[in-house]
Formats: sequence, C-alpha cells, structure tokens
Amino acid sequence: MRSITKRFPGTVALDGVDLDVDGGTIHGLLGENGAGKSTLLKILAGDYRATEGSIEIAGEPVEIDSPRAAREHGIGIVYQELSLLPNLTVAQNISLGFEPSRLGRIESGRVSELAERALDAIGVATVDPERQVAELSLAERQLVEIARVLTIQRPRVIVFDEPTTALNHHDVLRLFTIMSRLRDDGVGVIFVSHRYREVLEICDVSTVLRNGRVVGRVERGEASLGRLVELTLGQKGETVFARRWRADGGGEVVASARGLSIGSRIHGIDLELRRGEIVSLCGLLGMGQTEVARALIGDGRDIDGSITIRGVAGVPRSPRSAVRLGAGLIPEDRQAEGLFPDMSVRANISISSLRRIVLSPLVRIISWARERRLVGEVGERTGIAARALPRPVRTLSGGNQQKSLLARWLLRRCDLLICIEPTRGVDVGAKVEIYRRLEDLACGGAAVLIVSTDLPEVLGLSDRIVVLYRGTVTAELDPRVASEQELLLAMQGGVEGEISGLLEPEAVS
Amino acid sequence: MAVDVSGATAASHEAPLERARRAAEAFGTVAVAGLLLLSFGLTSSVFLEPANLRNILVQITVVGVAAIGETLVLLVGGLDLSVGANVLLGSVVAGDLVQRHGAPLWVGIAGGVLASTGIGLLNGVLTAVIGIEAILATLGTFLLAGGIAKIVLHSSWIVVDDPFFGNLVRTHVFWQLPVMVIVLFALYAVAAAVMRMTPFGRAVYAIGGNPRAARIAGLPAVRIRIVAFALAGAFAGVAGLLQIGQLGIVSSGNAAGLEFQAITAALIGGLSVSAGGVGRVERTLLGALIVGMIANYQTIRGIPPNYQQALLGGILLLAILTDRLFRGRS
Amino acid sequence: MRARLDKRYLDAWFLAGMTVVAVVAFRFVEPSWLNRNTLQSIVTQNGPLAIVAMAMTFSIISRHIDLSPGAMLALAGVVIGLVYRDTGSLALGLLAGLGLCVATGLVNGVLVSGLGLNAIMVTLATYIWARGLALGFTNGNPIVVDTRLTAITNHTFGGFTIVAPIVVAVFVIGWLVLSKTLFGRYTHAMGGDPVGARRAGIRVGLYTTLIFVVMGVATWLASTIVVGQLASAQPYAAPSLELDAIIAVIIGGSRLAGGEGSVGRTLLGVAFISILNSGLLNLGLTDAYYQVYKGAALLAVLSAQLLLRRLAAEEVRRRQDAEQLLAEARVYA
Repeated sequence: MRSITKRFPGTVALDGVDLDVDGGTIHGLLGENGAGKSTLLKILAGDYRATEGSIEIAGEPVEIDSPRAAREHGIGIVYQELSLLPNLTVAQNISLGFEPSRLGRIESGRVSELAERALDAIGVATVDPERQVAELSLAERQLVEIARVLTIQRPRVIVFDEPTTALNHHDVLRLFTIMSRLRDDGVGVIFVSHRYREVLEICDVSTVLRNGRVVGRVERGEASLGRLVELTLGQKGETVFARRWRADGGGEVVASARGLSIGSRIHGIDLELRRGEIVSLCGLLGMGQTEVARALIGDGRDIDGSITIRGVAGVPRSPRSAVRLGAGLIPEDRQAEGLFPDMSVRANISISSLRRIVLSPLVRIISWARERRLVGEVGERTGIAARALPRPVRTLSGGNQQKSLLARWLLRRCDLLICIEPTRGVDVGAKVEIYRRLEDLACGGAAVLIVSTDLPEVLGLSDRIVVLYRGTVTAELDPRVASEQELLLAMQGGVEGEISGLLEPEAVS
Repeated sequence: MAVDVSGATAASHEAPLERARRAAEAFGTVAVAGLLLLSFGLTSSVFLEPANLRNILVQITVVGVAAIGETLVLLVGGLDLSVGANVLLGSVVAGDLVQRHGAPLWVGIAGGVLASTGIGLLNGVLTAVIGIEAILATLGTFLLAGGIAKIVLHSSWIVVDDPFFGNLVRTHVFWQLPVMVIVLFALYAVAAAVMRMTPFGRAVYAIGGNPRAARIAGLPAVRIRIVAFALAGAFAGVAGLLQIGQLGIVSSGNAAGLEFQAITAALIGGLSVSAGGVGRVERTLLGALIVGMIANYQTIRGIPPNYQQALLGGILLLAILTDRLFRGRS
Repeated sequence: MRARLDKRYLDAWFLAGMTVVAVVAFRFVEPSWLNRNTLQSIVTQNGPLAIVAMAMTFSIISRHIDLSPGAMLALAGVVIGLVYRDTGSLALGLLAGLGLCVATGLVNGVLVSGLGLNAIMVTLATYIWARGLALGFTNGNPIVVDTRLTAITNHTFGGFTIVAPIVVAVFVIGWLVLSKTLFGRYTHAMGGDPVGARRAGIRVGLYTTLIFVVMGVATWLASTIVVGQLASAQPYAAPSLELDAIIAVIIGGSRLAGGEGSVGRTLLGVAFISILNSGLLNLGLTDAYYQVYKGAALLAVLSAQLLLRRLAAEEVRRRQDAEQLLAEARVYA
C-alpha cells in the first residue's frame, strides 16, 4: 500500500501511509486506538476507498472497490468482531455467499468437503462441521472464521484483526501455529494487535502507526517492548489535563470488591473506591476491566466473590439495584446503552431522578418548573448550553451527549460514578470540560471509577491507576509519578528495566 | 486519540433538515386531517353539517378509546392483538351483571373494567415476565378472552336497557355532543396528560425508545410494561361499556376486527409497530378521526362499506410510506 | 452427539409428546373420534392451513411476519370466481388468481426489502384492503364456481382426497428448498443476521421479495383448494388463517425472532393444531369453550417452550466455560 491517504469530512484519518508486506512473513500492525489501523485495513478489505494512494499486489496495481473484489485479489480478513451467522452450521458459514451449487441447489456434499478441507488446513480436528455456530465457544468461532477466510482460492494476504482479545493462552498458541503455517506457505500475514508481547513473539516485522502516519518499521531483531512502546507513544505527551484538587486519601469507602471472579477469565479482584477519589481501571482490550466495572453496576454474569456498595453487601443483581444504592454508569457506547435519542436533552438528564421532579411523593405529577430549574442547574454545572436542553439529544455533538449523561448522574447525586471510555468520540475541547466535571464530582464527595485506554487521560485524571492483565490486578500506579511509557508497559504485562511509580511491584509472568 | 468525526462539526443550532423533520412530525397528521376536512367539506354539501360531524365522532368513539391502550402498548415497544376481545369481554361482563343478575350499575361497570384489566395484566405478565413475544401472547389471550366472553353470553345476546348506557349516546352536552364523545375526549386528555406529565409516561417513552439504556438508567422496565398492558385492558373495558351505549346490545360480533382498527388508527397517527418510544397519544385520536372522516365521506358518497375497508388498507400503506420518508430508516 | 441433539430439539419433542397426549386424551373421552374418517377430514380441512403454514415458515425464519394470507385467500378466490363467471373459463380464473397473488407478493416484498418498511405493517395493510376488496366485489355474497375443480378436489381415493398428496408434495418441496437450495440457506442467513448476510454478498433484496412471492403462490394454491371444496368463492373465507399459520410455525419451535426453523417443525405444529381443533370440536364444545381451550393450550405450550429453551441455553454456556477452563488447566498442568 503506497501513500495511502484517507480523508473524512473534518479529519484526516491516514496521511501518506506506506505498508509493505512481503509474502512469507508475519507483519505486525500496531498503534493506539484512533491511530488509523482499522481505517487502513478497511481500505485493504474493500470497505473504504482511499482518497489518495494506491495498492499493489505482487507488483501489479489493483483496484479494490468491494469486499468481493478484495477476496478475488486474494485478500482475506478475520475481523475482530467475527462475522459468522450463529444460526447456521460451521460448514454453512464457511461457504456462505459462494456455496457450490447447481441451478440453485446446493451441493451439500461439496460444502462439507470444503469445510473439512478448510478446517484441516488449519489443523483443527475438534470442531465438527455440522455443529451450529451458536454452540461454539469464542475461540472455536474464530477458527471457523479463519477457515472461511482460507477458502479464498489463492490467498495472498490474510489479515488478523485483534484476534487474541478473548482467547486463552492455549488458543493463542494454536492461532500462532496457524499463522506460521500460512507464512510458510508464502502468504503475507498481517497481525493487528495491542498486545506487544505477542507481537514480539510472532512477528517478523512490525509497522507502527501514530496519528494516521507511519512512525516506524521495526524488524524482529531490533524489536523490544520498550522500543514498541516508545514508537507508539512518541514524544512525551503534553499534559492534557492537570488536576486542581485532590483528596487527601482518607475518604469513606463507597464501594469495594473482595475476591471478585467473573466467569473463568477474571479472578481475585480486590478493589476499594473512596469518596473524593478518581480511580482508573486500565488494561489492554479484553483484560477484564470492563467486566469488573459492569459487575459493580449490576450488569454482570457468573460473579463470585463479594461486592459492597454504600455498606450494603451483595452483588447487585441488576443495574436498577445498583442505581438505587447510589451508583451510576456512563457506558462506552452511549448510543446503544446511554441515551434516549428521540427524547429531549432535559428528559434524558432527568430520567434517573424522576422522584426528584414530582410535585410531591403523593402527587406523582412532574413539575415542569422544578425539572427546568434542577436540570438547568445541573446543565450549567456540566457546561451544556441552556438552549440545547429542549432539543432531541441525538442532535447534540458527542461531547455534549457525554455531558448529558454526566448531568444525569449529577442530578441523581450518585455516590459512585462509573465511566467506561468517558471521552470516546468527544472532541478535544469538550474532553477537558468533562475531566473538570469529573474532578468536581469527586470534590463533591463521590467516588469515580474510570475505565479507559486513553493513556494521557488516565494519567491526567486519576488519583490511582489499577492495571489489569489477564484477568487479575497486576499493578497499581501513582499517576503523579508514572510516565505514559511505564503505564503502557504495565498494561502490556511487562516490567522492563526500572519502573518508578509502581505502588505495589507485582511479579508478572 | 479517537477523533470525533460525527459530531465535530455539530453546530449549536439545528440543521434546517432537522427542524423541517420535527415540524413535519408534529404537524403532519394535523395537516392531513385538516386537508381532508377541507376537501371533503368542499366536495360534499352534507359532510360539514353538525349532525354529520357528530355522527363521525360517535362512530369513532369505541375504537378511539380502545386505541388509547393500544398506543400505550406500542409506545412501550409491544403490540396488543387482544384489544377487540377485551372490549367484548368488558361489555359482556357488565351487561351480564346488570341485565341478567340485576346487579347495581356500579357493580356492572366495575366488573366489566376489572375483567378486561385482568386480561391486560395477564398480557403484561406473559410478555414482560415470562418473555413470550407480544404478538403471540396477545393472540393467545385474544382467544382466551373472546372465548370467555362468548361463554358468558351463552351464545345469545344481551339487550341492555339500563338508561345509563342509553344516555351515553342520547344525552347531549356541550355543543350537542353525546356524553360518550365527551368521555372520548376526556380520556384522551387524561392519557395525554399522564404521558407528558408523569414519571410513568416518561418511563414508557424511555423503555420503548431504548430498552438497553432504560435498564442502565435504572428504570423498572418489567413493572412499567405490565402496567402498560394492564392499562390497555382497562381502556378496552371502558370502550366496551361505551359500546353498550352505542349499540344498546351486547353480541359476539360486536368487537370483530377492533384490534386492527385500533392499530390502524395508531399507525396513521404516527406510531410504529417495530419501534417503541415514538409517537403521541393525541395523534392516535387524530388517526382515528382521519379514519372516521374517510369512512363517513365514503358512506356519504355511496361507496359500499367493503370498498371503504379496501381504501382504508391503502391509506394505511400510504401512512406507513410517508412515515418512513420523514423519519428515514431507523 | 446425541446428548446435544436432545437439548436442541427438546421443545419439538415436547410438542410431539403433547400431540400424543392430546390424541390419547381425546380418544379416551370419545373413543369413536379417532378413525379413518376423522383423519381424512383433518387432512382435508387443514390442507390450506398446512400449505400456508409451510410458506409462513420461510417468512418467519427471515424475520418478516406476513399477515396477508387469509385475506388474500379470500380475494384470490373471489377473483377466480369472478373471472370464471364472466368468461366461463376456469383456467383463466385460476390464472388471474395466481397473477394477483404473485403481484401482491412482489409489491409487498419490494416495499419491505427496498424501502425498509416493516413487514407486519405492510401486510396488515394487505390484510385490510384485500378483505375489503373481496367483500366489495361480491357484496358479501359467495360466487358459485361449479366446475370440474370441485370433482377433482372432492374426489376420494382410498378415503383421502387429493388434498393429502398435495400437502405432502408441498411439504417435501418446501423441505427440499429450505434445506438444500441457496434460497433456503439464504433465508436462514438473512433471518439470523441481516447485516452479516449482506456482508457475505447475499442479495438480500432479491431473496426477501422471493419469500413474499412464495407466500403468494402458497396462498393461491390454498385458495384453489378451498374454492374446489366449497364449489364457490367465499369472500368471508379464512378469517384467521394467517394467525393460525403463525401459531403453527411458532408452536412447532421456530423462533419468532428469526433465523431458526424447519419445515418439519411446522408440520408438527400444524398436526398439533389440527388435532387440537378436531378433538375439541368433536367433544361437542361450543365455539366459545373451544376458543378458551385453544387459547389456554397455546399459552401453556409457549410458556413451556420458553422455559425449556432457557434450560438448554444454560447448558450450552456452562459447557463453553468448562471447555475453556479445561484447556487452560491442561496447559499449566
């Protein structure tokens, strides 16, 4: 891929990116969220068209204008979010869209044959082609997805997009075996991952993206955890946000977890959240931090161990129970789980505090005057323009939408606010405002728990950083002392050289 | 460093398209109703006569009241196919108690409304607690309620001569409108007020609009859904009582097809079967009025009633199409 | 392998069991009920339902509920009757009926797939206007259609009418199409994940429209049978055919949420409903009690199925977690 540039209205996602993938190599593609990795891949896969630049395969320039075209050129992608249809069988999924057929009648013998061959090619004997995908585990589904991709006639480039996020160690090894076999067959394998340890293990060469540009190409010999981290982060970032106020650490414990285990992948979590404290739960994708946060708000399954909120012991069974105890959640996907798109901003804010805006407990009629006043107050505190309040919330910018959610919980006067990716899809100006409000919230006596992969945000905002790796707490950092490099290193499970700022040095595998 | 592509350029004032869309939503149905009124009035000398207008209102009362409940259910994201049977059940129980057992009037009324509310509650439990899809659950209760109603009727009919019911349609107040029409407007006013001004109303819109977000926000979704279905039952019961007034007689064919009429009124008024949380109760009244006006005009023009129904189907299709045009794909 | 099979088909086994129970119960109460004649009349009377239910299977699997068959059956019958009456040619009438049904299916299909309208709403409109036209054209009166068709449909051989083999043929064809052709496979795909199906390159618009057309053809076939059986076109015919068809499909175990279903399950559902109907009628119950029992039975079966499904889902999840734990333990052992 040569000089690939991709512009969207208002932003440049990729700027003159060169990517050279040789056949018979495993090529890592690295970079933070938003660095441009997925945009680049989408162009390669035919989902997007590049604004400028060209693509060549084996020296020949090609036009990739659709997923089908990409497939015809020998490019296959195993997507992170898997595109299998759960109600069909493995064999049916593998051949979906290009089933061997005659006059509309599927030749089921050949379908099974195709599936078996594809599964054999990746050395999988344990998945039965006639089973429904819905019954398979995540790892097995991924194998089926890979098998599907491998039915491409003459594969040239196979991309694996964040494949290891939900895999255990055993499955990762199996995946690497498959990738190596592909490499040995002359295919160019692209491996996109946040997990640098894995990249170091399997990749022959890696390209690092930052802000839509290539900042480095690292061969296996010269690659190290430190070097990759350095390239990813670049110059020491300017402080995005500086705290004006910090609690002195002796606040009342609002919520705590002891020996928390969720499913089979998260275990032994101990956590304490105090008034006036902003705590960040950090980890690479899939390390368990989102699940832990959701368990606290009553949105979890298979939970063992204890959770105590405001002195009430017991794992909350539903978000409603947690909310009644004084907790609140701003979810990572505000469209899907946070906002009511057709309702006004005002109604969105007051929805969790309906009891406060009625005329009286007996007369359950909403007082529009009181709603206007209270929401107005809290809107001002959050920085939402008064004239935006009556509008449908879907007309607001991302930043203002987040502020609305913040205002919702402010109005509720909650004691524990959990924010997952608090500034996702928010422009820079609004980000700082949101940080300031979160600080105000803590100052006002609430405990705040942030889950975020935005490192400068975490370092600037928190009082304490708890790092999760492979489902357990592996480090606790003091953001006043730790650097971005150290944080990322800790998230990568590494302790290379000296890391100052570690509150409790942990031995890591 | 995620870049906000979508909202980065969001202005602090709305795009003109958004404003147009909201205006169309708010006034579209009213405009249509007004247009119909105008064109019908211009092309027929009889249409705008007060007696005729009164007639229209009486004709739509039963469906209109039942449609209130249907609207609530649609708003919360469900569907109620048992409305017709519920209307019948309400009128049957009331008629039976009063006429055949000589019970006092208030007992009959209470009995009728309680019976249909009970069915509504059953609907709520089946859908919100057990988790059966609304279309199937209410189909089952449709059979159940209809059957129970027919059993109570003993396969005959009840002529109800208690003057209370007769007065519903005979007594005229306010601009010579019969009592039942006043009841219709009053109930819509109350329903609209409840939906706009009570926590229950807000919760219904939230739960129908985005069930996942409603859960995260801590709303009691199960309870609200049950109440919505129960209220649908209650309104159906009241509609049944009004129907006794309108027809004077309770017989098993009374409420045939009522649920579809109610749903049609709601859809024309802008509600959606596939998405909750959108629409207003008042517009259902407009929807019912539009349907009533069209039916009335067709009768005046001598169009056989069956063709009227055919036309209604076409109008429904048109309404769905225009709704999609204005709202865009969800 | 067998253990897994059991769990998935648990609700089908349950229904089969209930059917047997129903048969036994009815026979116990009225021993004369289950005889050859009864079986024949069950098949004959429910033939149209079976045919429409088969097409409804496609609709429900693809997540588009079709409320039009009942009204369309009546309208098609009326069209057949009118054309026959005005031209004297039955063939022309049948052709006209077929044309109407296919055209309606096409229009509905395009509205749903091309414009993205909701299938329930669109077919609800059809439900309303088709019935209206049927009643309007005839003023509510039946049209006499006394032709060879009646002789064909009512001719019995070995006690059964031609309806039996037609139903069998329809189900066999339906089963073949659903399980062995691209059309069938893509129906499942679109119902399971419409976005994913589109991504895989499936022509969703084409196949969705085809599903509505199939329903049209099935409705026409059912209508022809009814016209033949009654020797007339009845504008009030099939007042709740679509709802019965939906019930048959769902009670057979296909999910309303789409993506799952099979012709076999629908056949089971049709059988159960037919037997229930026949048995209840035979008990001499009045229309009212019959309705109550039918409604109660429906709700009971649906609730039981939901429960069973929940149990099965638990099993699957537990097994997946267990497998993962085992694999990890093996590595660190």
